[in-house]
Amino acid sequence: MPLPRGRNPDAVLLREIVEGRPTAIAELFDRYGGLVRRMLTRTLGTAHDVDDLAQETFLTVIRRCRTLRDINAFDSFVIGIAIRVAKNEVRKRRLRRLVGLEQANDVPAPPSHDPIAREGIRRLYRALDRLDAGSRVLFVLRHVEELELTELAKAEGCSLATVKRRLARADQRFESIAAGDPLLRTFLRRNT
Amino acid sequence: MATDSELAGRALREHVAVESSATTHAIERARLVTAATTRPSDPWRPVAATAFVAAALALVVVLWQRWHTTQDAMAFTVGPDVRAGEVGLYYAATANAPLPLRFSDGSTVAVQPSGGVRVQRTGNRQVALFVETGRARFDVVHREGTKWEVAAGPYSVSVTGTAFDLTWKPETRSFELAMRSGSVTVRGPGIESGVVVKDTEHFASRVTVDVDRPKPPAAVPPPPASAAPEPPRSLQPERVKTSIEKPTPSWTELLAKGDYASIVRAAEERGIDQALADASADELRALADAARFSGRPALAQRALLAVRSRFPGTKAATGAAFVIGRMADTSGDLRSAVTWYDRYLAEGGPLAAEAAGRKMVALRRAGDAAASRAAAVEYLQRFPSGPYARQARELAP
Repeated sequence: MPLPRGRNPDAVLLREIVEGRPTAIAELFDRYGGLVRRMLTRTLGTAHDVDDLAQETFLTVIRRCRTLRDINAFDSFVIGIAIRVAKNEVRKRRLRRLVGLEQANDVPAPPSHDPIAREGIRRLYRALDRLDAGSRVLFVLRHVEELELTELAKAEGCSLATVKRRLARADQRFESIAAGDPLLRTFLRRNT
Repeated sequence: MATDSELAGRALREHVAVESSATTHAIERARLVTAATTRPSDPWRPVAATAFVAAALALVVVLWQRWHTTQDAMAFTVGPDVRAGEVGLYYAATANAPLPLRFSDGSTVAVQPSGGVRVQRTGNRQVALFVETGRARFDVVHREGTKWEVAAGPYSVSVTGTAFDLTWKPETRSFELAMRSGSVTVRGPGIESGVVVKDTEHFASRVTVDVDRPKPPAAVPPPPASAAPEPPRSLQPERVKTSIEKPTPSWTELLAKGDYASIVRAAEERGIDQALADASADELRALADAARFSGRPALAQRALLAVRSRFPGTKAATGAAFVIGRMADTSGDLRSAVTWYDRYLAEGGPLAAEAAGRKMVALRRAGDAAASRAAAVEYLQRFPSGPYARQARELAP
């Protein structure tokens, strides 16, 4: 689904954010905090350090928003920074896992009364772990957050054709991984 | 037919909850404002002397460490009215309702009716808590550096990110731990080296008195005062009953393993009517799935209807409406399918885009052109990029 309209800051709020006014920064967090947190949690598959990563995202937004020329592109601007933070974190965690410094995914557990969903989500994120960072982020933004392709292209700073091609590659990779996991497929089809 | 990628998206939307509490949102907002308004203006500012640079850096490190420790010290709120919690205070639940303690990292402790706990210490992602009496339900969020120590009587539980229920009965000196997920290490009398309890295991232990042991002299000095009360020396544990029980697999666990036949067989051995009358919502949902995947649609429908009638207003009941609609759709009972999709949409389930789309398609297949066109228009208003948007545009160009 498209991002809700009316979230973009007006010129006054943007100026106050650039000036570092506390009320404007708080307003920025109120408007985008939920979206950024949601996107980071679902991309990374864990609530581990999401608050710290969200802080990093917003501090970068505040630092760079003075260079923003088109205020109507603020949504894509914030998402674009969150995407870069998420990709960096995916790469870091993969490297830490490779050298044995981190446990396997501690996924945000579905309600404890649903062990089927818990196991299914764990397997789903294990499949996502096998995508490269860019594919994983694109997959989540398209299929989970339901961002439109045009919004994804703007946030990634590339053409619509490029986003479509990258997404098709990510989907193909995920589906071939899922095809080799019968329990994951059973879980995915539970509501079909 | 939805692709695995699309189904994965729906599954993550439905099952991965990401909303933070109002308390956490407020804490993180304040943290951002502080960080954004006190950052150094220019890290590359030249400095006159090396000694001054070294001293300034040392001061920054000390201040950063103090700021970091202070910012990351766990705060918590108590009760449904979300009042600020205080370290050292005793919090007791009434006999009628649980008392929730919510921590700033998202962890929760629900003190069950008539239970009581004391938060002894909080730090950077660390909590020391004492269960003084009764039962408490723990859901500890795992993060790097998370470390909880939960004490109850002479027992202690080391936690890094798990869900479990802990009961301490001082009157019988009995300790009970029921895991819900993750793993913990329990230490106590007779198990000083620690016992790992994990997944859905259940651990029980009791401190007993050895009646053959001669009574100590009356002038035994009292034990030193401490925050965590220790058993009096005249009651040193001599026999400890310790057991770890592995429960038989639940229907939901059997479903996760793909053992559908065992679930259906277990329901038949219990008696289908009896099973439908007393199984939990999760068991009924597992039975419905097992029956569907075993080619027993009638049994699946009965189980789903039992979820609806016995657990109205729950997420399980809403989910059951969707599956009943899908089953009717697949079997060709299109009017019934539309009715169930409408119920699902009215109850606000997370698969609304899917249900609305299927309803639209079912109406078209049923030959009701006007209703399917109206459903298409409504679909495009609510879900312009939804999984059925293309079909909706074909019905309502």
